[in-house]
Amino acid sequence: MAYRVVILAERELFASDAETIQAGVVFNYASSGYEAAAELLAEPADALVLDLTRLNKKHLKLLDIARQGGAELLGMGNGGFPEGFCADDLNGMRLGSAALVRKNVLALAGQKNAISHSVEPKVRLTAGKYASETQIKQGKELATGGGGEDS
Amino acid sequence: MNSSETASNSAGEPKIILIADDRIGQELSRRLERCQLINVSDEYDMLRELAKQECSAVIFSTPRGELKALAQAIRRLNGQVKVVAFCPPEDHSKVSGEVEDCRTYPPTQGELKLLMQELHDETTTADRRLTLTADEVTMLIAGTQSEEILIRRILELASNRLGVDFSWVTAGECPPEVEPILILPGKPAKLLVPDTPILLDEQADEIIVDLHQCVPSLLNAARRTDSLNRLAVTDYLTGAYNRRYFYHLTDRILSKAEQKGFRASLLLYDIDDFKRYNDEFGHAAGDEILRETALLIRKITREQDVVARIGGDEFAVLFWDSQQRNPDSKPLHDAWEIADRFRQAVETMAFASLGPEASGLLTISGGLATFPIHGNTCQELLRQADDALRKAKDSGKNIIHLIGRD
Repeated sequence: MAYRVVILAERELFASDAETIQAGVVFNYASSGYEAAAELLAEPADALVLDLTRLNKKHLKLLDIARQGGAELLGMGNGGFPEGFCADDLNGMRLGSAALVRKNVLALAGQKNAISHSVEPKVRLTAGKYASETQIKQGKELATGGGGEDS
Repeated sequence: MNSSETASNSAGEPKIILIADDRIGQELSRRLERCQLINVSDEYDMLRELAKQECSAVIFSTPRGELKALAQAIRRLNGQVKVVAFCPPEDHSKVSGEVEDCRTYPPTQGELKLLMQELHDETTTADRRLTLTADEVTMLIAGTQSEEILIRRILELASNRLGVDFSWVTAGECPPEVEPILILPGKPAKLLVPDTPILLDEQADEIIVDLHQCVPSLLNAARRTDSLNRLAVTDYLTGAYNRRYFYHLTDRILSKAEQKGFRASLLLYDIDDFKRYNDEFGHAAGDEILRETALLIRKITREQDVVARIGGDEFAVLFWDSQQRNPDSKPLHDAWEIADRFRQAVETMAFASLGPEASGLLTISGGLATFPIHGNTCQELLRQADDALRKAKDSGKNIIHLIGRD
């Protein structure tokens, strides 16, 4: 199951590679806050990765959109707050270097895959299907004259 | 999508998301009739609304940052929605490069009516592409008519401030009982009159006095701007557009033509053996020939066609109209007919400086190329038209050669 990540950062800073592909991570790059918002609103996303150095106060609503959509927030930066942001604005965001954020994305994708595998519904025979299959089996056995324990 | 999520409400009114500052927003809300307006305060809220429900249009006022990115985001959420930006005239050229449908603010009642008509049409026939009128596109892309814009804005200002609709009328159209509040300086036939009787209180009087005081200088400034604009884009000898502006304008029209499916053809022509006339009759005679033929082609072509002097005795004409290209039609036919009518008119034209014996000797040759068959840009079409022109010369001159018809 794909892990969809919307990225507002330079492609060079956060690129897809064999490891992310293998982990089922799909990157959707946005070149502006508006495009990132449109990506989040257009289809459900699992995470939003942000280059914090590109953000300003106007992007607070982008974070709201991501939070409301249930996307994980991951921020890459140089340690400082984006212009006009306070600590509360970054509440719930996983912060770190590009390498660390990448590691986190892979871990989150792994968790999602594990959960989706564990809750994957098993194929069960319904009563009707079970009965008809049993009848077919019995019919075959009757036709071939086999299947009886006594014979 | 359930019935409440369609681009129009149950009354068939188009849903429009409006994002504008308070003053402009209130005014547009008041004037946009027969539509359901959804007012939002910023761009992100607008995107949220757009994701929630189908809308016919998003209208926003400028200045706003990252317009192009915003337009792309809107398209990501809804590929069909019409994106309209209203901007002051001075921002028009900048904004129109980033947003497909850019209109000048404040819009006239007529423009808003046209916009609403388009949106209603889109609501009722979802797959119908918008077709702008030739006049409207000319206005949008020319953008040089600042005096006209000013005159329109005066009317808007008077209507908004005095609370009744006004019209510009000529002296003959003005009913005797109606007193105009303003006569446009330098244009005595243009009077600003209220559509319905108004009571002029003290405040209204002040507004009218203000208008009387500021309009003459604004009008002079607008005329100076127009004059400078004209100088920057025209050829001093013939009054036709210059080469640089022709390239600019043609590429913009072709880009519109591509989006909307318009027809367009480019003619390149020159005077046959022009050097001989220059040598035999002098440069003054050569100049007269260029001036007279330029005047003639402007008379023969349609209002929206673009005539330019490309260099020396070489002229280019872009024929275009807002009719849709049809694979079964002959797109070159109209253009060729006009071009050939021009060729015949030159052949029978008398030039004072050449004397009576030279009458009927002067001819032109031309080459015609069609968008998009022979090229998508001005440069490509000019190159092809130039090839056709050379073939016309090789065939004995005094011919309009259609490219591909050897």
